Amino acid sequence: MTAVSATSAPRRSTSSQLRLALAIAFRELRSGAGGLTVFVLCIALGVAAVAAIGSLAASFDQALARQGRTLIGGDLSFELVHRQANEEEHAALEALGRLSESASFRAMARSEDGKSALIEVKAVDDDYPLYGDVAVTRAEKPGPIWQDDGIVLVERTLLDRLGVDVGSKLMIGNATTTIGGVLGEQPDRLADRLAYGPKVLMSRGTLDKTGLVQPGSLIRWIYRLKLPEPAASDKQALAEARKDIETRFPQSGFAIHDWTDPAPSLRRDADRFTQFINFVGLTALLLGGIGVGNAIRSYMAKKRDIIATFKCLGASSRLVLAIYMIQALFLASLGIALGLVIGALAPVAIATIYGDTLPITLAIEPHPLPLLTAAFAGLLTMVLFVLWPLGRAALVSPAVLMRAHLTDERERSSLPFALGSAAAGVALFALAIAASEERLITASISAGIVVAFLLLTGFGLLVQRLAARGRRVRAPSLALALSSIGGPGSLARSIAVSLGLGLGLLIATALIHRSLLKEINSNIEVDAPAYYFLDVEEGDLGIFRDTVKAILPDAKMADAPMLRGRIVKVKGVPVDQLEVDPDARWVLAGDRGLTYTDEVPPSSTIVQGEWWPKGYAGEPLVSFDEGLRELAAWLEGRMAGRQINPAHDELTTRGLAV
Amino acid sequence: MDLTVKTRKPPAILLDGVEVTLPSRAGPVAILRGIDLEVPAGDAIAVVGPSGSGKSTLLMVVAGLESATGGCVTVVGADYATLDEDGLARLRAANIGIVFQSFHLVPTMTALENVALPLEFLGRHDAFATARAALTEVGLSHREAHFPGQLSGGEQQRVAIARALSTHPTLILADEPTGNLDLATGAIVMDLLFTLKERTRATLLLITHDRSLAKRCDRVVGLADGRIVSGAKRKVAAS
Repeated sequence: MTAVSATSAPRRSTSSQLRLALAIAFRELRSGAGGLTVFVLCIALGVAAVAAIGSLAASFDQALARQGRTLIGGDLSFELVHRQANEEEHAALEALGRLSESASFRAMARSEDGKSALIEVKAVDDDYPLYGDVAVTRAEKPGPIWQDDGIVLVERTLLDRLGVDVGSKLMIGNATTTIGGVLGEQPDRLADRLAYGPKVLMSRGTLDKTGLVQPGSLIRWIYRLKLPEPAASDKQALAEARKDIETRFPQSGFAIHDWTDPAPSLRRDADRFTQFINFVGLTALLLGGIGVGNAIRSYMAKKRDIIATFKCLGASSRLVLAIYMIQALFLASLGIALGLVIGALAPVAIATIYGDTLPITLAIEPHPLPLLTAAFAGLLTMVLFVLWPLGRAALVSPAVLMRAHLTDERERSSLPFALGSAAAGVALFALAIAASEERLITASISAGIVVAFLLLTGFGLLVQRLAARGRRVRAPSLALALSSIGGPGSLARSIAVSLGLGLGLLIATALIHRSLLKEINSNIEVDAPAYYFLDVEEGDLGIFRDTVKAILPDAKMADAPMLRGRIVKVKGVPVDQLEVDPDARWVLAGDRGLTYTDEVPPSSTIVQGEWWPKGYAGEPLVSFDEGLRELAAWLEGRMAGRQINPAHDELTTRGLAV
Repeated sequence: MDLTVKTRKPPAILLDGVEVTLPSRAGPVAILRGIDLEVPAGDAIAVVGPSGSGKSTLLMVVAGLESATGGCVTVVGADYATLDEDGLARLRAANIGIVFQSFHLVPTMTALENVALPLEFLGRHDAFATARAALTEVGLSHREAHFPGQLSGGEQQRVAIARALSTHPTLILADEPTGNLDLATGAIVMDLLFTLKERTRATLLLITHDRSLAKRCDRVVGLADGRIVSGAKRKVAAS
């Protein structure tokens, strides 16, 4: 007896399988993605978070790089506090290129009708500005009107505050000036970012007439330098010019900036902020991924019968996998595209909403690298959370069409898909670390998220098992609930992970916020003053006291003499060569306020050493905050722009005050 | 006296001591217990029996949807033991048409697309033209752009029959095809199925509860408790 000979459908080429998979995938999607809107939104959410953070950081970096020269007003800037550059320093700077000198300080301006306001004066020479333009509106005449003697440009807020207008008189120090126009944007605004009042621009000649330049006056002298080309664009030449001045004048106290990194502290702050917000972005991406995983599991559960039908009709598992992988990729692409658009628009939105308060103008064009990173991260997240459930679904036995009670337990092993998902997870981990500048922190955060993920999955599994064990209770509603948690298709694990990570993110953010507040509050004494008044001349102190008592009779008031100084060496090592704990860097970054007194201030406690006796006249002694114990151990400094007598240039710390 | 004669036609289905035992929490459950069955090509065979007797499992084994845990399964000349799941899928695509009680049309595809599916899986370039002709054969050419949800039960089953027969299979497996239809519609559907079966000269394995429907087949096999209790071998009329 001969059997009927079987014919078998020929194996199809990969390209023809792919064409068929594409056709069927889109045919299925044509009538709606049924529940996969969540899938698209979850991917979009994660990608948008990562893309927005990356784009903002890139916008900031690019803005700093692009606007470096206008931000500092030159190729290089050298800043001194309290004193002008001496002849030798001036000559050395002038030898390098075109030099512009400016003086910035706080002063009071008075109108003719007696109103006064605190102002930020900037007095510039005729070479100002070296780069960029000064925006002037309502000027009495065109050109650099501020160069005229007795003419000042003022910001609009001062006009409002004093009730004056262009052409009005303004008394600054001993000089009576005329408002020649309204001052708008100016170059080198980063140097003046800590402004306490409206800015006033004047010439050096006008400044001399004010009589405000006195020994010890808190004036910042800024020397901006424009190097000749090609040195101006050559970073090495720039570094050499900077090094030359630093080497020749090691004790000058110059704070030097160049256009390649015009605001290191601002960049450092931005980097820290980016690092923190990256943590939120990574978690958002992971939470989005969990949403994606849940959505695809639910979607594939609905497709179970269709997949079995396909297989009954002759489709291979590979074709089925291709059909649903194409759908997932298509929907993920939609989500990624949506996320990228939102992310790319983030700098535009921030610049539009907060443009006036930002220290620089953000570069709002799209930044390909962070967008590409975000897209890749979105794709890897999709693969991480989709491949396994998709693979399991693709392995559905066609027998489920006729044996509806077949459950997951009877499905075949999906180890290759689990391994594929794991590989995508590792790649995502590597991408997050590679894209970060603080790799150790990112690696720790990523590892923490993975550990949290595993712990929460374990917790979900435990809940599921406990529910399964205890489901035979008498109360029907409880039995049903426990069966639902402990039975097949339970969502216990995914809910535990989603809720756990979501709450974890909220708690982490709240804790960081609380920690910041605690840090701030711990530095504020209970009886911290409500107001500080700076730069009250000793001769005016009596009048000031009387005025305060007249307004607030019960006010407690304390005054202290104040001068400013900068630490230039620690243990004999110049501060720019020191590796300092980031938490203490601010102490060395600029001028520090110093006061002197014979007695321990009422709010301070001596925790080590002893205070100097009343009327002490020996070697210079200082007292430091306890938090800076190490730094205070050896200090060599210079006070108020004057080099301390070499015989006493090493200040000894005598007390640590809290 | 043995009334069986050697069939002249080669068997489309050859089951030899087939057993199916499924695991369960209460222990293994034997569903088919040593089934010997031979169905010559071109014959129509009805399998009848009470619920739980193993009828559907028998069909699944023949379709390659369920693996036998014992014995040999040879269908249209192919030994199932030598085929993996994708091999079985390709074999089904080329040789077997299945009609389900619940139709199992893909709800997101039109009638035409549903009928074209197995042809597309076969890589046929004329899939849609052939599908259109198949729909015309079952009298539904005017419904080709309709989705299953827009069709009546009878129409859905006719689309399912068109889909099962569009590839001109040598073996048609039908699992209670009238189970979800009213009597009149069921009769129309079965007339159509038998007509097309005759036209294509395919072998038909029909699972049914309906004795009258079973009588339209060349042979009726009775199944009870996983064993064949009647009609195991072909009987030839005394004449």
